[in-house]
Amino acid sequence: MITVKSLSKNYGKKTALSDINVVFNDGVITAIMGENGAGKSTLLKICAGVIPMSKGDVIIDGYSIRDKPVDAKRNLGYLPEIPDLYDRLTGREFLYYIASLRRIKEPERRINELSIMMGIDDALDYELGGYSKGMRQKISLISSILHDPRNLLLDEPIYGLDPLASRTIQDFIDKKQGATVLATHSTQLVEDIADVVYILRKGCIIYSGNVKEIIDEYGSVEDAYFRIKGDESCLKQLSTY
Amino acid sequence: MFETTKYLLIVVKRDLFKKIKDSPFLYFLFIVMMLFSIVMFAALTMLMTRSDMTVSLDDVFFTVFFVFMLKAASDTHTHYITSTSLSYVLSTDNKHNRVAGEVLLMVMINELTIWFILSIAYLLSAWIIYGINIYYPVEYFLFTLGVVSASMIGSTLSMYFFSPCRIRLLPSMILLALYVITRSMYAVVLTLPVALMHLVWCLKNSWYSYLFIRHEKREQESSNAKKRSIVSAFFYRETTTLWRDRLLPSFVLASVMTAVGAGYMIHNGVDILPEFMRDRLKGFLPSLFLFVGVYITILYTSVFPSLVLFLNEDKTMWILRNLPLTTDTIVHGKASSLLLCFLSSVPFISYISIFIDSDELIYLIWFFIFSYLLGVIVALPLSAKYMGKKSDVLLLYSIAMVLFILLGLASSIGEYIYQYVYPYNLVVLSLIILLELITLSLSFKISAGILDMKNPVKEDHV
Repeated sequence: MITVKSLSKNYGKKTALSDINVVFNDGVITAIMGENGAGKSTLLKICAGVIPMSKGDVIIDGYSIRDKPVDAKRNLGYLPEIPDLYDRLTGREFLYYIASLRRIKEPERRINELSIMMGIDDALDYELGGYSKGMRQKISLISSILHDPRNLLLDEPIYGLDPLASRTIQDFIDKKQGATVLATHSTQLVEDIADVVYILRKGCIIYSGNVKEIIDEYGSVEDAYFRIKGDESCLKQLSTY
Repeated sequence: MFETTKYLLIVVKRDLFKKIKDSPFLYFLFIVMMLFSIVMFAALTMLMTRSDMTVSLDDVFFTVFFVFMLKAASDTHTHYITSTSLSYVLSTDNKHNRVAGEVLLMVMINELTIWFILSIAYLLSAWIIYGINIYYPVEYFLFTLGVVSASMIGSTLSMYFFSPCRIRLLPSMILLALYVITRSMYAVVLTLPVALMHLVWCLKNSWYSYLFIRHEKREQESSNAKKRSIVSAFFYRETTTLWRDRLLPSFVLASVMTAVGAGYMIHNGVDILPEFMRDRLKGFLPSLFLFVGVYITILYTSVFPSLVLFLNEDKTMWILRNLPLTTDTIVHGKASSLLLCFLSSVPFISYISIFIDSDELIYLIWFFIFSYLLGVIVALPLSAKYMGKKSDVLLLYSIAMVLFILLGLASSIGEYIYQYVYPYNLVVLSLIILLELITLSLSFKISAGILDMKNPVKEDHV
């Protein structure tokens, strides 16, 4: 379970996130949607401990990412929107590097299994600098689930993936027991696998709802996205900030 | 017309102003050090003009030439060969060789701007402070042509080095060989049309250099990919990158070259001095050349690798940030690779020992270890502080100048202890190293603290 408490993030005078309070429950797949620059990636980066927050806290399975980052990150997998990698390492070396730093026992089996599953086993001995966009996405995805984490934070997880890999990752997410949070622009992905959706606008959550109920009410998530105005009181506070 | 050149010049200008805004203290230090260097060069010129020291104008010309050639090669690599943002320009209906030409024009404008600023500052300080006659318009014009030629040759070298057809480097290499053989600046100036023709030919084949990436398959090395302890995993990753980027072999080569150069100067350096200074300085010069040798060696085997540990992480830092590791572990793990960099500098000691006696060697080993550790102590926290700022040269230069002063002091104190605290000199010097190791662990702590998420660090680059 991931609990976000009164989370704010400022870049100088610009507010990226404003007083976010949300709980991502175990066994629930949550999608975060919103326009470009709404704060989706920033929220995920803070939850993953990649960038610091300005105010508030994030609790992952009872551990604060601010005070107990090592414990909090132990059961967490994170995939960034643009996964920059070590260009001079091969895919295999990179995965073993991650396995060593995460102290994964017997990583060979897991690396082989996941790389076959994602269809990248043939490319493991090439340097990452020569990987295509989709291959980089796949290897990053493998690195984020290598330790079989309970909780997942995935930023545009199927972006750049071929249909087979995309289906594989959706099946994998479906089986997760912990909290799974996806930041995405794909309304189709939300309809296919998400249970709950949050809509962010200018760093504020303006709407949250159950995906099934949204489809029942609006016909599709895409229609709902354009028609939902949401609670914009937070935005008004921001404009007077 | 020249839209790409204008766009790149704006990018370079904005990048500079942003860096100045982000790191004002660093830039202040950099400007102070630059001014200090210029005044020192002017003072050196005064010393040479008022004595019978024999440093020819051609030697100075070729020093300037090679510095600008390397800078042009580096700028071409940054702004053309690895520049992904150029894909937008290249996707328009402009011809690719025209785009490449505009990039090279920007590189030349850049080089000439730096040349005019530095040379005018140098000439003015020589004239105002030391009263040296600076009216040499013909020589200045020849030097400027030399910078133009260096920019052209540097750019072509970079273009062809990062292309599948390296044989095309041959004309540039022949030109360079000609310059080395003749050692005359007129050779450079007279072959300027040849360099220009070669550049035009290079532009016609520039397409192959753009985003040149080697898709290397490393099947034979796949057995090296295995589970390791945390520190050795860090060590393997860092040193593999250094090795595959050809940095480690270049460290070893540079250590040997520096030792040979310093050794030669220890033996023959006195000859370049005027007669009246020889007696006064001949005892001091060997120590000075030893000092310079150590100083240069630790700059590229200690300061540079320490700096790139975090400066180069930039966008890949997410990999380490989301792992369950403390910042202490990250710093210790990454810094472990410096052990191999230290080993790559050992050939310096081996080769220099040919030129000095055993008594001096013990002191030299102490001073070398001291300098190496001091380089890491100063550079590592700055690397963490300016992570992703990509101002390696600026930082390297600033640290180099700070180290020059610190090591100068340490060298004097160390030599005094070594000579006058006998027989306890080695004990005292060992204690100093011990104290330095404690400072090193403090430096690690500070670096880890800077990286810590609890600190309100500037993370706009993440």
